[in-house]
Amino acid sequence: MVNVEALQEAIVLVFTFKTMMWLAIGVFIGVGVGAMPGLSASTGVALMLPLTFTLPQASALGLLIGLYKGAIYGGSISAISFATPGTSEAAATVFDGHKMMRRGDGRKALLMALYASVTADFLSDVITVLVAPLLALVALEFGPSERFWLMVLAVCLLGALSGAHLAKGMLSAAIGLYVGTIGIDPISSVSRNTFDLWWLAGGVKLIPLVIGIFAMGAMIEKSVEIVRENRQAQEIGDTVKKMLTVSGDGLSFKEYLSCWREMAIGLGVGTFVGMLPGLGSTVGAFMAYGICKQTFPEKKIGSGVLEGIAAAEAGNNATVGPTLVPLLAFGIPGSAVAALIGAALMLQGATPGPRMFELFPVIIYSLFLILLVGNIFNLGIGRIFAFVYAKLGELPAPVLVPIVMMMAVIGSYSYENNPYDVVAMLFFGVLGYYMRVFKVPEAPLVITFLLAPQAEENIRRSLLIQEGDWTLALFNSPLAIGLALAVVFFTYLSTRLRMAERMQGIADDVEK
Amino acid sequence: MADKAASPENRADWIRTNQGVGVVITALIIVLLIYLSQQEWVFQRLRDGFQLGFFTVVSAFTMLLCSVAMIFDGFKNKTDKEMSAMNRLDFIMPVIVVAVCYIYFLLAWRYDFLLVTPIFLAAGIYSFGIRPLRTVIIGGIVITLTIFGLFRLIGIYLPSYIIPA
Repeated sequence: MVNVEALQEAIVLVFTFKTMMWLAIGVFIGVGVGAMPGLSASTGVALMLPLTFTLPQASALGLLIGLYKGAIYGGSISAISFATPGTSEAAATVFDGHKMMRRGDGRKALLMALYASVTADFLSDVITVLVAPLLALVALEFGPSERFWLMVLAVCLLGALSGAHLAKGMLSAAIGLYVGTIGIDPISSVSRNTFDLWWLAGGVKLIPLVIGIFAMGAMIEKSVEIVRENRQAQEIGDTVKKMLTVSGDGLSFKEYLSCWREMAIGLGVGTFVGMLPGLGSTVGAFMAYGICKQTFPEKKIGSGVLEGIAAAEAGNNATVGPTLVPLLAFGIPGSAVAALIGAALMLQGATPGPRMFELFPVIIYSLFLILLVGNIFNLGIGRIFAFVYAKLGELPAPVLVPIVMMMAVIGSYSYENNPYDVVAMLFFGVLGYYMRVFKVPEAPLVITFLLAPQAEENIRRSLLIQEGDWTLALFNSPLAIGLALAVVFFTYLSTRLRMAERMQGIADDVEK
Repeated sequence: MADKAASPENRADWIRTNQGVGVVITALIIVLLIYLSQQEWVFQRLRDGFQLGFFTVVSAFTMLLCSVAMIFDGFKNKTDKEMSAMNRLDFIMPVIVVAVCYIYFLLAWRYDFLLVTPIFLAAGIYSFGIRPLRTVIIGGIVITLTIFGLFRLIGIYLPSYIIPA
């Protein structure tokens, strides 16, 4: 049932100049972040997270969701312009987009990417608004042992699906669990696992962790690349001049409509993939692209056609809203960015989960409204600035690296004015760098870190109810047993799916 | 064959494979487990009957299981692209970067954000190969002032004696 009073309050909160301004800023930064190779949606959201602490709830959500939407679309800009996807999500867009660019149809390709992104994003947001409350109703029926198994299932899926190598994905999740146990025990308030460092008694804070893993780790990697390549001195003057030039042809409404099948497939695949923990928008884009390529061989997807761009872009942007469904319905983030948005909600005092619909309906409605309205900003800002952003990708990485590092330092410090947060951020930066080099996915670490206290709380509550009997605490209902079996089954199944190999197969196929 | 396997080049190549990385991680986790086994809190039983170190030990053993799996699973001989390109400097570089960032943080907060940040940015950009120096310096100042202004706009006061809060 719709809580009309809360909805009215949310409308008042969202449709203010301040919220709209932060939403626009979020999209504006997001498209830029996506367009610049080396920066991703998670890097951008992690860097902006400390700023949300000082903002009102609706503005904070506007900034982060706007940034997320903008970054997923923005990746296509450099993918089309330079065949260098700004984000991994846009890798499938390169196949057709860059070929069109070389043929002189760059403007058409950029506009198709924008329209397909916004169309699929908007429709998948509508599905999110409809599905999340229904799933939350189901989740409310779960007891502590069922919730515990659900978290284990999510972590196993994340570990298994986040990369090509199961052991590395699970290793990442285990590190997250280990880091999550540092500090005070959530129930008895006894200190543990602090390595005798007094400043770890309060535990590792989320903001230094995410900034370190996603932003500092990526920048250390970039700086190593720059030094390794021993680059010659680069003249920056020409780049700035080039950034101000625009050229190309437009896209007709008929051409946009001619890709409706590809956008529909992208919408369906992206929405489904987005709701599953661990898969993410890159898989959404590649799956939609692969399906369209097989279903419509006559359209010659891969040879530089609009349909290929529509499928890939609809596939990745359709995951944006649905990735929040497991977070809102079960309190389990399905992706790294969903975890960061969950963290922002926690900073604002609202713990994500099914009870959020009862306890904080205004925040839920605000979030839904921002998801929908964000698309209009994405469309407007993308339409006006896409061609300027296309030149932004030429900005040399050496300019970017020190700026992001400085932002990482001040972001982690300004959150609580604690110098030890900077130390923790730098430590996780180094860890994040080695994880990137060893191809250990970062998302399972962050998500398991967030889930660890909740999982511990649930299993201990269950143990208290069952008077210390572990068997009953773990398997006290048919649903709990079913979820435990699902952990084994889906972990096995997800390793058999070999998503990374399938995506590589699609890429190889197009190259041929 | 045995000589070839023991040569320094081969050892350097092997350490870059998943198996080599797995062995290094396994060694680190064994050290961690030994450390944990010597901690009293790990075995401390709480009032609700729960062992304080339960989740810590579970996570450490899961890490061990995963790292051992890396030594023996089907990907054991695979070397990731980034790993194969790495040299000794690439392993030391993160420590240098982190040290520079920490020194920047200490100086910026001890003295003045507006004084130290343009130097940090200009030095970083210039050392990464961007020219000419004048543009780099102007860029450093403009970026610093923009970030300072934006933070102030949202109510976060970065330390400055030049423009106090």
